Amino acid sequence: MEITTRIDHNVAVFSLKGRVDLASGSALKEAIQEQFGNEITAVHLNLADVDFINSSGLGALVSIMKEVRLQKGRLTLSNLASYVQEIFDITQLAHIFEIYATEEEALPSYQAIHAN
Amino acid sequence: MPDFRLTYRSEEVSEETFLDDLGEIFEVCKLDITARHRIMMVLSEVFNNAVVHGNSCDPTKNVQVLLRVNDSTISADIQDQGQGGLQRIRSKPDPTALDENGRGVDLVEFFASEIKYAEASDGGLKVSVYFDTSKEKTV
Repeated sequence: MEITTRIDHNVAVFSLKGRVDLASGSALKEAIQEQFGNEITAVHLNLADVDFINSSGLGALVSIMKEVRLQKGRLTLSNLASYVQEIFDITQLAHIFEIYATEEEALPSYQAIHAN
Repeated sequence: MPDFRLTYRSEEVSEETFLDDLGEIFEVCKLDITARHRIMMVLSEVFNNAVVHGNSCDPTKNVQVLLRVNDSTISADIQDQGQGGLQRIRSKPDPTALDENGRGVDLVEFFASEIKYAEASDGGLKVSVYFDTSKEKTV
């Protein structure tokens, strides 16, 4: 999996490309933990180019969610393909994660919360 | 199409190799992207269960895959060399809990048309999954 990272108004935005599975999930966790070291705890994952996810990948995302919460941060996801969204729906993780249709909708929500 | 007999060492990197192999095999099948994702995902769940829970990621142990593809069905037998066989099938995790594991069986049972479990004489587990690719399953 390829991971592209950028910082947008203090939100670490990770654009993922490829498979989210056992091996790549670990790599993603490391990339996010690196941002915690930079004192960034607002994390957004753009899954537009994710073409595969399994329960190991979901487990990695759950682990990331726990880490973000421990850091008192916030995690959002966006741009899930229909076949990725259905995996979240079936496992009921769609209720656990904040999922937006697009990154453009997700990122302003961080500023709105910050303003409040 | 001919049957595909594949053998993998029980290590984490084997999942990538297995998925690459499946991708190449399914390239010639006329599956839509959703069906392809469902089947690959289910097979990867069974495969990972064999590697991690069956063979304890012991690279000296193998996972053997027999894959059959025809016009209306896809089936796979995935067998490990571990111990404990049928006892490994996990129960459903609490969906409200932030459990990092345990969702694989749910996904397999949801998407596969049929699943059979058999314990090998040496204690390993053989999981046989069947997909009726002529039917569409909606969520």
